[in-house]
Amino acid sequence: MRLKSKITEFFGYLGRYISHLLFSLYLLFTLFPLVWIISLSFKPHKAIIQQPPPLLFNPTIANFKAILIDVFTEQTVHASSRINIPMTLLNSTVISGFAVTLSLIVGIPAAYAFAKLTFVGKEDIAFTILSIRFAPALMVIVPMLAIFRRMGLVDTYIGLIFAYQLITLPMVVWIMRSFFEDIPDSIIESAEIDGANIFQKFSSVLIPIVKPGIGASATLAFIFAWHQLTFPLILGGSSTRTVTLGMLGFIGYERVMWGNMAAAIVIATIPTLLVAAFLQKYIVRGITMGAVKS
Amino acid sequence: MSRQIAEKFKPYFLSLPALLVLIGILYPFGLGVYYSLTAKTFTYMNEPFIGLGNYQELFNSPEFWRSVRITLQYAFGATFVQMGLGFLVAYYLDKFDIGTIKSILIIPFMVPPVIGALIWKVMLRPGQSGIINHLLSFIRLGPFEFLSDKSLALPSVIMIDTWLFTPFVILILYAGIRSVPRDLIEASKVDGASEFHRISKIMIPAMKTHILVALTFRFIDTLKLFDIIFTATRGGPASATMTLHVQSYFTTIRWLDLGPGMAYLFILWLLCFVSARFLVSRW
Repeated sequence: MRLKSKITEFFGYLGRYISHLLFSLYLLFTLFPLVWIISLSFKPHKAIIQQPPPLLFNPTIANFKAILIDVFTEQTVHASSRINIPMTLLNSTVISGFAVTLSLIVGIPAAYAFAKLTFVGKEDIAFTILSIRFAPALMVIVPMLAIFRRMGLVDTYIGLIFAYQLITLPMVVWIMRSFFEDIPDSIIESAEIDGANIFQKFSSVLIPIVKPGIGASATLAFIFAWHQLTFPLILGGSSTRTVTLGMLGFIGYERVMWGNMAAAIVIATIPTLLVAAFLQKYIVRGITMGAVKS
Repeated sequence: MSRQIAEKFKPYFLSLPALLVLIGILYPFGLGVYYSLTAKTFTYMNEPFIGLGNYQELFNSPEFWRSVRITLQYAFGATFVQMGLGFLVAYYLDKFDIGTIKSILIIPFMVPPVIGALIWKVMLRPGQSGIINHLLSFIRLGPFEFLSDKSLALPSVIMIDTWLFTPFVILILYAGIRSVPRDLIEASKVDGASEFHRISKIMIPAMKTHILVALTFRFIDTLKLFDIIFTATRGGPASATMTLHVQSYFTTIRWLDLGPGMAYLFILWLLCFVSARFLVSRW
């Protein structure tokens, strides 16, 4: 009897240690690429091409200087001058920012209607908007390219901001719908008794209540818009090149500027990491588009 | 009376702006379906309607079936690995009560997929210049040509996908585990049920919705995956990672063959739509 409990205890310890070990491996798998790319971005070119890779090196900000202000020193190697990283950052910010703004303007009233009103075709329309999230993007943007060519919208901010609605609108509508559903009907009814019209009701009652939802959906929609590759790849061009597209430019050179590329990667990722910090509480509801309320 | 009419039209009035954008999305979609029934190319937009000709040709082409096979291998493989790994990590976080570490684990999910693929592409370089091969050499493994070996390319891109999106699964499943009533778990502990029994008979049934939601998003997003493969392998080597979505890009945008390319896309869309309908209805 005592032996048996000793054995169970032993396996309990063993199991615990194995699970700690496996989790550490997963943590390493998650963090190593990040740590490695950050260290690469601070490495002088000599240390990057050195074989085997040195553990210690003199950190430099030359790579960041090179991609941000186009200053090439001896420690970096020329060639990425064709990729104007600051310009791509600006393009990504403008396109993602306005795409989210447009989605909020058209999506919030619709989300309220889907959550609180009854009308013919409601669920069909709502599911159609959701199904855009599940459709392969090229199914819409390849024909969109044919249309944009006729309308002269290829490589324009307006064209891309509209195309980005494929990503941002379903998110805003479905996340906001779940936040509106949380509002008790009694609050809406009491506003109606006060004789408030629909605009007053929105501005003084509803919007203040769903503010966290607006923040969460805007943040997540911005992140996913920032991540986009296919839209600018197909509908964009040299004057609207986004940061994701700029990154692809680093592939295919005979001599890849590893250090410059690493610095560009770090800079292009910082914006989404920064805004993600605001998400914490609503992140699960956001990434499941309101399906899971936690 | 007029007030009643106003009330009746209010929902439509409120959703009108979104409906207009929706029409702006559905119109090109419909046009795309029509294109798939024509012989149009981006250079000859006047080519005629040919009915199901493009589809017939696809169904008879080995390249199409190869793409279908690779797409399904990718989707099932990546989804299976990420759901399994995501559950194990979520369970671990809950068991040892270290949920706060999520904010670190989530970072890869916030990295744009293009950039995640780019980081791994550099790390997985063939020969000693790749850091992964360099590290593997210490335990006398490799060197491997991860992304340029026909049999390793698909597992390698699935690994990149796993790095990027397992955090997504962890977040949802962790929320699921936390939503299981604690007394339910405590009661089974008192009953002396084994840990495995507790997980399979109590925890998983109680968090079914969370599992289905995570599964839906991962399965469909891997079916239509584009960015990672386009960055890491461009469908190569020798089409070993040529999924339907990537194939359709080359057909329509590179070779300008609008008709056959849209047929590819419509079939992929159908696959995604049917899966979404099926899975979402079970949430």
